[in-house]
Amino acid sequence: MSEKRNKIFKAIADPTRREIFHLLILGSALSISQLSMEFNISRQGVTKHLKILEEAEMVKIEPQGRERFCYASAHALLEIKNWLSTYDAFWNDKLNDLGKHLDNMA
Amino acid sequence: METQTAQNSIEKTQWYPHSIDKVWGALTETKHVSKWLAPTNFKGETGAKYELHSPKDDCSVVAGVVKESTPYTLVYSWIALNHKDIETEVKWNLTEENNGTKVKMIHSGILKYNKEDAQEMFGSFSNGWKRCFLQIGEVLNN
Repeated sequence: MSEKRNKIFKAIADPTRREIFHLLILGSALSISQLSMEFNISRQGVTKHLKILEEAEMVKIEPQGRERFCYASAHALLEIKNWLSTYDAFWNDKLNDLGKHLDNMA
Repeated sequence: METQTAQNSIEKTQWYPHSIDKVWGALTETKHVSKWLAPTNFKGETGAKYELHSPKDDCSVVAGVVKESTPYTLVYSWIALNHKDIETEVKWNLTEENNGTKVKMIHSGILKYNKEDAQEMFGSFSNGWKRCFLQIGEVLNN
């Protein structure tokens, strides 16, 4: 497993971080204050989660005026999709193998 | 073959020109599962534990327990041993259709991670599982 994927899995291992990421993917950019209000946790708490999401390159944080705004990066979704597609391809093959095996069964 | 990839599960439906009991046998009997899935001691009995082995050597790569096995629904947990505390679930459902059998397979929980799982998962990387990690790719790819 790639180092990058490890970081993504670490990031999505926490339910609050998953929710932060979902919120950013679904909506537009949010400031740290907005996230702090949304999740009813301290700015410090939000910042800690964001740092882990940022390290996984799932979220980008950009200063705008006095606030810092957070954006979701779609690239991370692609990594997760690759993980799914491993299993997807696996089951495609296996269902074909099952079909072949059934044809050969007495 | 229809394919649906929801966020957290993989769902597949395929029709086979074989009787429902024959397909059920292929999914639940050790000698058959060993042929089409991977070398295994899998037995379609509720509560039975199983392991899938890599084709090349005797490395187990996936393990789990049969949760339900009543014709024609089969459910088992699926734990890839390179993410060994992350339990996913494989569910098979068979229905008779057009003189054959429609097989629906759902592999769910693929993105189910919690803190403990992740810690365990990353911890396990340094514990000599490496050889088996490589094998899982082999099973998944062969």
